[in-house]
Amino acid sequence: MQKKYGVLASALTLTLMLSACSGGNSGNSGNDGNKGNEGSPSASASASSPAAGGVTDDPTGGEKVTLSFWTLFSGGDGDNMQAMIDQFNKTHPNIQVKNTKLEWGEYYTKLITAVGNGNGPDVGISHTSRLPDLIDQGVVSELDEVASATGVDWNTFNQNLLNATVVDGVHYAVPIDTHPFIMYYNKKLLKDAGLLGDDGKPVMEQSADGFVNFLAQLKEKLPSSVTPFALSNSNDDPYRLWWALYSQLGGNDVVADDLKTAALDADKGAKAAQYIQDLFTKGYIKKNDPDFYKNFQSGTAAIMMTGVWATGTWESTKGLDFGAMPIPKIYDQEATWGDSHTIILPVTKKEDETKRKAAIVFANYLADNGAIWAKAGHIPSKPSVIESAEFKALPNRSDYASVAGTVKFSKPSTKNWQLRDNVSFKFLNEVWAAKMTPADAMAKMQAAYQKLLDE
Amino acid sequence: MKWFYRIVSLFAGLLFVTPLIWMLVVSVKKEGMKITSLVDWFTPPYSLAVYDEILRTTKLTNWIWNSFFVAICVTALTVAFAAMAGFVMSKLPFRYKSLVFFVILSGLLIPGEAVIIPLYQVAKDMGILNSYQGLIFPALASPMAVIVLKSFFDGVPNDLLESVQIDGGGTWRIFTSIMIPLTRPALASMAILTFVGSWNNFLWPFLSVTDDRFFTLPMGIPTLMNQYTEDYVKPMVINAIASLPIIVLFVIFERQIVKGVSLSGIKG
Amino acid sequence: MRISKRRADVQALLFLLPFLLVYFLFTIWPMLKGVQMTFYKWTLIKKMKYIGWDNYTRMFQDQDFWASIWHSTLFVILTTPTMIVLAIVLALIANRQSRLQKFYRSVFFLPSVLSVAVISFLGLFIFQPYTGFLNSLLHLIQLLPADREVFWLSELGLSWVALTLITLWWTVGFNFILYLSAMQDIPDDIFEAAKLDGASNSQMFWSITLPYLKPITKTITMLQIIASFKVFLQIYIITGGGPLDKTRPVIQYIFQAGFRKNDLGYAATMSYMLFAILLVLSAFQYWLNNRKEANA
Repeated sequence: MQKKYGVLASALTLTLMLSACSGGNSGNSGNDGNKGNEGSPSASASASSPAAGGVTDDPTGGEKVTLSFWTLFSGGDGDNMQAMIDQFNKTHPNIQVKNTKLEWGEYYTKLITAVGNGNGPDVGISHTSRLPDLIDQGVVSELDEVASATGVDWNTFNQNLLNATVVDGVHYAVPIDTHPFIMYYNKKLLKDAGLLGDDGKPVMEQSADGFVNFLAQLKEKLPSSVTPFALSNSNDDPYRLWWALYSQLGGNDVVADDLKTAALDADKGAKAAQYIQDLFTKGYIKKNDPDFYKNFQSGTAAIMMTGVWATGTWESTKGLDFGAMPIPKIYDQEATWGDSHTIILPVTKKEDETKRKAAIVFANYLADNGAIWAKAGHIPSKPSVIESAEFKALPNRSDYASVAGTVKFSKPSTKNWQLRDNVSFKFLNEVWAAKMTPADAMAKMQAAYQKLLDE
Repeated sequence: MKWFYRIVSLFAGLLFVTPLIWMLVVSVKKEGMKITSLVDWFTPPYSLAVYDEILRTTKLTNWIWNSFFVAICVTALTVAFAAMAGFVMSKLPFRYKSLVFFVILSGLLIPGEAVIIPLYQVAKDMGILNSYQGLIFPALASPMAVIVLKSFFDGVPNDLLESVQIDGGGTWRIFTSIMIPLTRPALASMAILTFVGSWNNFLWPFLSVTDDRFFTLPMGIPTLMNQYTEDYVKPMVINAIASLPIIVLFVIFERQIVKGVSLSGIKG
Repeated sequence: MRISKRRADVQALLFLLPFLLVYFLFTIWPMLKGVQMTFYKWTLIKKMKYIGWDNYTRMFQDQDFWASIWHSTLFVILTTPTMIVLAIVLALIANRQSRLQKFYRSVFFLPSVLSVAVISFLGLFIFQPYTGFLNSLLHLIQLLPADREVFWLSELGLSWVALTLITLWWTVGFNFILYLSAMQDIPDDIFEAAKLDGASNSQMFWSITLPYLKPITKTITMLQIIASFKVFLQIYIITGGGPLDKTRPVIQYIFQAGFRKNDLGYAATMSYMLFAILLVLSAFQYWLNNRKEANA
């Protein structure tokens, strides 16, 4: 009896498993993918598409198409993007855009591999800084032809942002925003310290000493539980501050025009790094702060620097009375770090012209509706949107919208994100932890940049 | 002296469960509370709201299911394939046997990590990236399982097989009605180890799957986490949800699991 | 078994077929394919161009690669002896007659069944400054002044401590069980006889228990060295390989080269180096074991 059961059971499980394992793939495809996001607020329904220029409303000629769209947004950004997509789908009955949210840390690897395997999306997002690499790898397609076929006008975009996406005279992306590095301040704490002017702006001299003085007073006058300056101790944000100051000093990009030679201006780089290192060592910034966002959000930090995307988060925080402004002009010229989100049309197996037309109309629509996108804090890519009543009605944004013109972009090196993530971060982190001198770090960075460029 | 041992033992025991208790306690805390001391975690207010939110808004349960599904398929197929192969290597004379044995044996020396890059290329060429097949099939090639099971089969006396043969039973019957029942503990041990290995397998799913419908837990969890956070409630809820099914299984099957693991040492 | 030769061949083939098929497709074939890849510039998308031995010369000059090999080696050095000592201690605890025997066996093994991602994030939050479990505990029992923090994850030495502790907690269970069953296999009458001779507990441990554990220790050491050398996810999540890439293990470096820097050819080349190292390790171990046995 026992034996018989054994035979049966093993034969049965084997066949069951075989069929289950190979059949499982096609089973639960798709439809649960986007359900979770539908709850996003569509309070933004007021924004009507300006239908600027002669962009066609029906690029598909009556044909129904579905566009798959990969995004890397979460939180407020994710909700706003979904709201714009929902609105687009409503106003363009022939085009359905399906949003797939990917995790941002893995987004580019996934995009590149998926496009390589021939199962990439119809529409995707790229940061301007990632674009040269994606172009080089054959991930993104050229847009000029499809843009002129649908009447998308490149002149309606901010040229500083647009130019950063043009490589060798060819358009590869539609910028929808710029998200520069700016400064936030807690009005209540500044007032307590007597450093808030009647205009609601910080009382601070815009200079190297002025900013340090400002922080010193905050530290002195506020309780010790308050962090004068909330800033990450590693990677992105302090790097962005360094890049801003380095650019304010007139520093070059870290690669030369030939895109093959490391060209870090070591003196200026060291000067900027020294300035920031002092902010850390003098105790203005909380050491190894694991949650610098929460620090500012919960009202225990006087100022904070990060990308504009935090604006929306602060606004939705009850009891946080804050202001926003460009990074102070510490050195000679105004400049800051910034990047842009752009819409790209990845290379697909069969280049479906109808889909491509629909996609570029969608991309242009996102730029035209930048006022919705700006709710998270981003600066729209079209000057006409910045001038619109709807954008002006949003608080705070106008205080920093001008920064769009002073963002210093990197040169279109295919390696520029690697230069940043694998070299700059690594050595500058050591400077912030006071384990390496700025001069030493610059020398090591120069060598590491060159090694990376030679690979 | 006896008391000293007892206290040390108790301390070690508590030390091992503390992280898990902390995880569970934090996971039922109300979100967004100000935590200034360790004691704050262990005092009310408590709430299950985040559990509800995570279960509703994320794919965590899908991923738990995927992890189980993949682990069960991998376990069943690995043990089945390895048992069949181990059986003939042990009991059946055939041509080129020593060559086949050598080929399988040398596979023991190839660590999965060393072939994972070309494996990616191969799976891509076969078009099985982003699929359950892609998650399961490459994990089945376990020469270790064949060798271990072969050595267990070696322990089954040949007389037994011959008595079945005299009865007129074929090779398949010998395999299923003698070999499998007699080596059941070894097979169970192999199954448990394979299951845990698959449950924890990270690198291959991480490389081969980009579509979150096919995520398994080890790759899904990091996508939900924010490394820079002081509010641990959400992360701990995610950890807790991901761990509870396997903890329950452990409690139910503890005796078998422990036996399985200790058996693996004998032939290891 | 008595069976006609030809039939035996056919049957053997049928029985072997499922395993051999997956084995060839997913181990042998990639192994060969990989050799080809090392001679090419090969991206995630496609094969680019033949570059001869460039990947190999680059690897031998790549200091970051050798540093990552060293980090994996260091991890082996940190975890293997500690793992063995801890596993023996835990097995001794769980082997004592006590009402809590079952409890000990369960809790020492329990972490082993948790997902590596779960234990990594648990580790991260335990060691985080200000609000992490460990620092909060140290503050509570006043071992650490309220205004000071231990930065477990940003000081190099402390990061290794944190990574080792988390790994021990997570994986010691398997080795613990192996030791426990080895201890239970020691015949009781040996202890009885020793007691009659007036041996103390510690004498019995050193002269009876430990020698009995020798064979299983060899097995565990070998498995542990290879397992530790392949460490990846705990480090990737907890320190990200930092500070200054000084905890980055070799698997992470290979992964980054292949999938972040989009260079599968180079990643494959480094995989073969990893393969060679593991091969040498196993061979060395094998030789060591056999030599000792020959001497004994």
